[in-house]
Amino acid sequence: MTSFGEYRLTRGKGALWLLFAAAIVVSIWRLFVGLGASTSLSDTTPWGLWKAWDVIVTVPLGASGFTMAFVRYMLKDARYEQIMRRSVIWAAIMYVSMGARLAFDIGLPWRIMNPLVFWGNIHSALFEVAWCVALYLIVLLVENGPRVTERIDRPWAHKLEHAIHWVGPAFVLFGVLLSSMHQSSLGTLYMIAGKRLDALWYHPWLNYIYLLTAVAAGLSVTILIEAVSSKMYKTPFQTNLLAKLGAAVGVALGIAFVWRLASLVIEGSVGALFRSDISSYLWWVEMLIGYVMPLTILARGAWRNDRRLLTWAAVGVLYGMISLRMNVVFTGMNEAMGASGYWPSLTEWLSSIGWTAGTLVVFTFLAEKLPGVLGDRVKKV
Amino acid sequence: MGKGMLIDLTKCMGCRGCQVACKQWNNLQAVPTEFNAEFTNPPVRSAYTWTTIDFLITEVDGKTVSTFTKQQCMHCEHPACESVCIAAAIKKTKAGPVTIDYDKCIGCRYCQVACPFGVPKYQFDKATPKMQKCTMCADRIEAGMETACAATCPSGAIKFGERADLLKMARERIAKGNGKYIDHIYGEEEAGGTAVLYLSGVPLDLTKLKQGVTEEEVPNFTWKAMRQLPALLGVVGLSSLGLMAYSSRRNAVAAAEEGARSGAGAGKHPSKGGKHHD
Repeated sequence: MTSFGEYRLTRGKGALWLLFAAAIVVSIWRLFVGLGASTSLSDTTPWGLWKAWDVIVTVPLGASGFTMAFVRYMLKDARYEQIMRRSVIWAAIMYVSMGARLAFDIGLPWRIMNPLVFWGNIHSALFEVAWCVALYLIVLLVENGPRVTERIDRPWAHKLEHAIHWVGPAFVLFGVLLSSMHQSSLGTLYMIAGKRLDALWYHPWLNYIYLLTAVAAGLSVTILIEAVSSKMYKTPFQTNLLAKLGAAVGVALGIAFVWRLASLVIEGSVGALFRSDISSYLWWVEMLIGYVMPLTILARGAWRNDRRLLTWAAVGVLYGMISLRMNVVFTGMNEAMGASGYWPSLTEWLSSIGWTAGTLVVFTFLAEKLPGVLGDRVKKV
Repeated sequence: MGKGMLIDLTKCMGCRGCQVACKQWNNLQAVPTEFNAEFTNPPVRSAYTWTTIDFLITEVDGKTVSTFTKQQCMHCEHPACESVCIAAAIKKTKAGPVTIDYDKCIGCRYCQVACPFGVPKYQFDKATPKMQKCTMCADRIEAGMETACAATCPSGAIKFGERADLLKMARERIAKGNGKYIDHIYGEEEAGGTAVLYLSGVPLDLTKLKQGVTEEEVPNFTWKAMRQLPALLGVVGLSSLGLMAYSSRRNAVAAAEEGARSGAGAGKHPSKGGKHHD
């Protein structure tokens, strides 16, 4: 006997499904025409929107998984169980989606598994990311498995659930280790550019900045999931619990903030902040919205315990995380790569927007089909 | 030590014979081109044009200075492209060339981001594209021949040989040149040393050679982070296990106290979720 929930298709969700479908159509079309015809990529912009948004940003957007699994299983705080369930299923969606999108970005999509199957190059940060992500997908499968098995009233499902329960903590630890590796290695990617990267975003240890901001962004995603879920599904918004996550966000973000500023001073790049060009403005916006605003809120107990302010802080952190990664790929490398004036093609926009819409709407589908994700509601919807 | 090329820019007369020889030997298709003020033709290197003579016409102290810079892959001694290649498709061979194995390449294009000289070019126009660049005629080297561009160069500007010998030759030329050359062998230190070396008679900013290239071995830029991964794993792993042990203990103590108070309920399974949250 199985008992899955009802999925309610609304107009909003329908629109997101349509965008998702359009993205898939566009992605398949790209296979036949090649990258040149479907994107604005060129030898001076070999990595465009698809690599930057769909891979380098999407992975930390899925960092809610390992951070919340850490809170639930390493800190063994059972009060976070429901919050973790939503965060972990969101992570699974982001990672699966990222893998699919990456396949369409690489030149020969059918070879995406080759470096794993036929081995590759351990000096390559990308190889390391590929391995960690592939293994982390298994972790996410285990972490989310009970949401499915608990709905199936069969002996094998009970056995499987029991087995997962037993190995769970080991997989969580494995997931935390894998995530520490690949979240930081995404920062290592552009370290190969050395000081070809604009002084504003150059950092001698960009890998650790990426790891810290991934932790901050992951927990911020969790806060936003809770905010949306409480609105959409009337799940309880547990401000006291989320404020504690907010404090952790503040610590990770604060370290990244101070370290980035210190590195600018040590490298003697402070002058770059006052160049009054577009890139320096982007830096200031990144710092003010992505670091100063959230840190100001999160530093005060009363403010981070305010649902509204906490949500705004989380939005700011995500802006800062996305801004850093987009600026490293585009703004910061623009001059070194030959200032080609890259602007994504319609196909690239449609694909990135559609796949992102897909992650949102698949979340609603799984949340509604698997009642264990939403748990108790404040009131029935 | 591997093979290399010494390109003496003072001897180059800009005939572009090397461009033709390169296309011919490597079966590279012709590309549509356009007239441009600097006479570089085709104007950019691409997946189908691996080498170009880059013309630079500038005015110095009222005199027109025209330089020709033969450009192609530098065949770094420690290539950034090789170090970042996810599929281990790019290899620095013992013979000297840096080559790409098309059967392994997945098309991630990380090498294009990594190369400090901007060398690898992709067939963006194809549905099944390949990453392309000068191979230093690895196939010819294997057969005991020199590179096609060196073989064809009528003025002897391109010399093929052992990199070590070429370095020596370059130093001699500078020493005996009576100021004909600037005192810099481009490629001796650039990017930690490249198999292709250049001599120039004019300051390098009057050539099209890339300026401001690091003298460090580029693979170290990422390896310094990668080599710390075991330490990162150790720190994260041990602190996770430590926290887990501490949290178990804390929960056990709390449960015992709870049990002492209510006389029941201790040792309940903590992760049968959904039932016990606030």
